[in-house]
Amino acid sequence: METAVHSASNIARMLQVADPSTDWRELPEWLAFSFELGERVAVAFEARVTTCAVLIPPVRSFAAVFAATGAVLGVACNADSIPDVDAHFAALSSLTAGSAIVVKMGERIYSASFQGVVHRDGATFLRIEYNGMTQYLPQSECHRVQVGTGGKRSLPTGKPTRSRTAAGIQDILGEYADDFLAVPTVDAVLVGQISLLTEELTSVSLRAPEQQRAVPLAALLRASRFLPDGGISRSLLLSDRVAEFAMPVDDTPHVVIFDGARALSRYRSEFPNSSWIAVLDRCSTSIDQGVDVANEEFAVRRGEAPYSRLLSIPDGAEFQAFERGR
Amino acid sequence: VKYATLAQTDAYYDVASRAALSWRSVEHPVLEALSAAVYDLSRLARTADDETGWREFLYPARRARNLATTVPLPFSHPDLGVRTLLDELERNLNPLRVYGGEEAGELGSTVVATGRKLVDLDDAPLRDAVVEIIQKSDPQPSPADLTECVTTTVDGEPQHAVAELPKRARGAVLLPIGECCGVVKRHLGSSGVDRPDIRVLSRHEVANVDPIDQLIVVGPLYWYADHQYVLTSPRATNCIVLKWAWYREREPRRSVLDGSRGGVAMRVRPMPALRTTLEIDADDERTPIDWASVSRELSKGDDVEPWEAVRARAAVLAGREAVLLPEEGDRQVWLLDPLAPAAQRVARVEVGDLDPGHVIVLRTSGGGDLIVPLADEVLGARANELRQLQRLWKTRVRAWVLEYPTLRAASAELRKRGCSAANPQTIQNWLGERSLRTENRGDWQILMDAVSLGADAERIWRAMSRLHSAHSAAGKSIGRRLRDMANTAPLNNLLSTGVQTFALALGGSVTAYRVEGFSPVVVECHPARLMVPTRVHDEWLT
Repeated sequence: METAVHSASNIARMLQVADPSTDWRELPEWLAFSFELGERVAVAFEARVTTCAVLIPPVRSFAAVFAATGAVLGVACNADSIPDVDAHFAALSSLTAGSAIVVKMGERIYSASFQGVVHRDGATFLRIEYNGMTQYLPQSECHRVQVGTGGKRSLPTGKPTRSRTAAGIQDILGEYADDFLAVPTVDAVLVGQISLLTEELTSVSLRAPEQQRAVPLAALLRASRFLPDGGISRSLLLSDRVAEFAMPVDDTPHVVIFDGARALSRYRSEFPNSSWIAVLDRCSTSIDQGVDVANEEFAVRRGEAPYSRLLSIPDGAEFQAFERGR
Repeated sequence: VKYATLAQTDAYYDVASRAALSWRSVEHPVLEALSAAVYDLSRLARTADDETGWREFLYPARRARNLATTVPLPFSHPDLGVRTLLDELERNLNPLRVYGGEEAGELGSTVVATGRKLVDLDDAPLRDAVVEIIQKSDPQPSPADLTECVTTTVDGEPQHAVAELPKRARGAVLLPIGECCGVVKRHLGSSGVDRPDIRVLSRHEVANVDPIDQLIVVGPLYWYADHQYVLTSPRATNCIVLKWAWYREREPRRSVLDGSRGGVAMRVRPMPALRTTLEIDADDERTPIDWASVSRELSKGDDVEPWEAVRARAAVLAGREAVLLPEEGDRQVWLLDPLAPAAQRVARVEVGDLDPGHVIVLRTSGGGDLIVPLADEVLGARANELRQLQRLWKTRVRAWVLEYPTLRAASAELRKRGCSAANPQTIQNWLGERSLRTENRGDWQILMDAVSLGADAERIWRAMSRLHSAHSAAGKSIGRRLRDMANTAPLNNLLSTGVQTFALALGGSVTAYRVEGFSPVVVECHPARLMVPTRVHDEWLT
C-alpha cells in the first residue's frame, strides 16, 4: 500500500492523532518524541544493543503509552520477520508436551498444543495438535509457530473478513500488517497505573495520513486485555501494584516501559534482558526514587545509546539515554 | 494523577516552554526580628548535648515563625494562630531556662516579646504583595473570575473541585501550608480586601490545575522541596516567588539525571540582592517532621505486653493528623483516588504500595476497623450477643496467656495438649480483634478447654462462625459502599484540603486522608493503635 507509513524511516512523523479534545493533526513534537523514542529503543534492541532511556517531561500524560506503541510498531516494521530458524526450532523443541502454542495457517491463527519433535526420512518435524487433528510441521517452517495462547480454536468455515480496525492497521503498517496481526509476541511491556493508562490508550486514535480509518492506540499496542478472546497480542500491560504476573507468550520483550518511579524501581529486575524506557513524573513525590535508580544504572553504563543524539527533546523535558552495562 | 486530554497536555507543554520565574522581595522589621530570634535559638539548641528539653519551646516557636512568614493574613488576624502559640511559648519559658540556661532563656524572652509586638500589628505584607501583583496585572476581575465568585459558598470554599473550575481563571496564589488556604481565601474575599477572584491553592492542587497566566508562590522555596514541580513543571507562564528580604533562596534545579540533555525550560530572572544584615537559608530554617516524637505520641499510653506488640510505621496525614500503619500481618488499606474514573476510584492496596499524596480511608469513629461495624450491620440485633461471646473468649485467652512467662511457653503448653495450630504468632492473632476462631474445630476445643470454656465451646464456635460469615459479607460490601460514597459525594473538600469525612449509614464515619509522609523508623505498638487517625502536636510537624 503506497500510503502505508511503514515505508517512512520515521513512523511518528507520518501518523495523525486525535482524541475527543482535538481534531486530526500530525503528532505534536512532544508526542512524536515519545513515539520515536519507543521505536528507536526497540530497533536498537533488535540490533542487540540493550539500552535505558529516562524521560522527565513537564507532564507525564501519554508519554509512556506512545513510547510503548512506538516500540511495538517499530519492532513490527523493523524486526526480522523470519527469526533464526535453528534457534527458534531449538526453543520450541525444548517445550514440554502439551504446551500451548499458536500456529499461523494461511491468513488465520489457531490455538494448538505442542506434542514433541519427530524425525522422519532424515528430516525433523514439530508435531502439533489442534482441533483434534495432528500436523507435522517441517523445521524450516517453524517460524509459523509461537509459544503462547491466542488465536482461533476451530478451523475456518468461511471467507475471512477484515475489521475496520484491522484495515486501519493495514493503512499504517502496509505489508507488515499481516504478520503484526498474526504472530503473538510481547515486544513491549508497559508497567504503570492501569486505569490511567487504559484511559489514555482508549481515548486516543491514530491513522495513516489522508486515510479515514482510525485505530485506537490500544488496538495498535495490542495488549491482551484490549483484545477479544483469541486476539493476537504484541505487548503486555502490567499494573505497578501486582506482585506476580505471567507473560502471555514466552518472549523477551524488546522494551519495557515504566510509567513512574514505582514501576521502575519495582519491576526493572523482572526484565533484566530487555531495554528500558522510564517516564518519571515531576509531579510525583517519588520522583527522587526513580532518579536515584536511573543514576545508579547510568553509573555502570556501557556507553552512549546509539539513538541518543538523534532525538529532538521537547522543551521542558529532561532526557538521559545510555547502553546498559549489566 | 488526573487524566489529561491531548489538548490539556499540549497546554502544559506550551506553558513549560514559555514559563518565567521572577522574584518579589518583601520586608517587615518586626517579623525579621522574630525570625532572627528563632534562628538564634535554633543555632544555640544545636550546641546542646541533648535538644530534648528545648523542644517544648523551640518547636512552637518555629511554628509561629512559619505561620507568620508564609500565610498572607494580617499579623493580628485571630485565625493566623500565632497568638495561641505565643501563649504556649510563654508557659514554656521557665523550662527553657532550666534546660537551656540563661542565654536560651533570654532568646526565648525575645521571641515571646517580639511575637507579642507582631500580633498587635495589622500589617499584612504578604497579602499586600499578592493583591498588588494581581491588581497590577489584572485590575478588573474577568467575567470568568466573577462566575467563580458566584459559585463560591459562604465559607469561601469552592463548590467545585479546583480541577473543574473555569479554565479561564488567570491568577492564583500558592501557599506552603495547605490548611491555611480556606482562611486566606475568606480573608481575600472579605470587604476589607475585596478580591474574591484571587484563587488560593495548595501545592497538591496546583499539579492538576489547568494552565493559568500567573501564579504567585509564597516562599521560602524549601517548603516545596518534595514538590519541586511547582517550579519545574510550571502550571503558569508567569511565576512570581514572594521572598523575605533576609532569606537567601536557591534556584530550582534544572536537571536531576546524570549526563542528561534538556531539562527545566523555565527562564529564571535574577534574584534581588539581600537587603538586610540577617541572612538565612534553607539549611538554617527547614525543620523536618520529628518522626520520633510523632511515633511516640501515636504509640504511647497502652500497657502493651511485649508479645502483643506489633511493628508499625507512622504516617502523617493532611489535617495535622497521623496514623500508625502495620508493618506486618494484614497490611491492606482502602485507597481513594478522587481523580480516577468512577469504577476505579476505590481500591484495596498494600500499605507498602502507598506514596505520599495518596488518599487512604480510615474509620474516624468507633475504632479503626471498617469491617466490624459493617459486619454488625449485617448481623442486626444479634450482633451484640455475638460480640459479647467474642470478647469473652478473647479475655479468657489473654488471662490464660498471662499466666505464662512468654508467648512461646503458652504455645508450647497448647501444643502439648494437642493444639496443632498453636505457635506464638497464631496466639497473637487469636488475641487480636479481627481473629474470630481457630481454623480447626479440634484446636478450638483444646483452646476452650485450656481457658475453662470447654462446656461452651460448641456454642461459641457457632457464634464465631456466624461472625465469620458476617465479616466476609462486610468485606465484600465495603468496597462497593466506599465506591458509592466516593462516586456520589462531591470531593471538593478532599481535593482542596486533603481531608473529607463521610457519614456511615449505620452511624459513625469514615474519613479520607491524604498521606503527607511516612516515618523512616518503625515502632512497636498495641494492635488496637493501628489505623486509628490521631491528632498530633503541631510542633512535631513543622
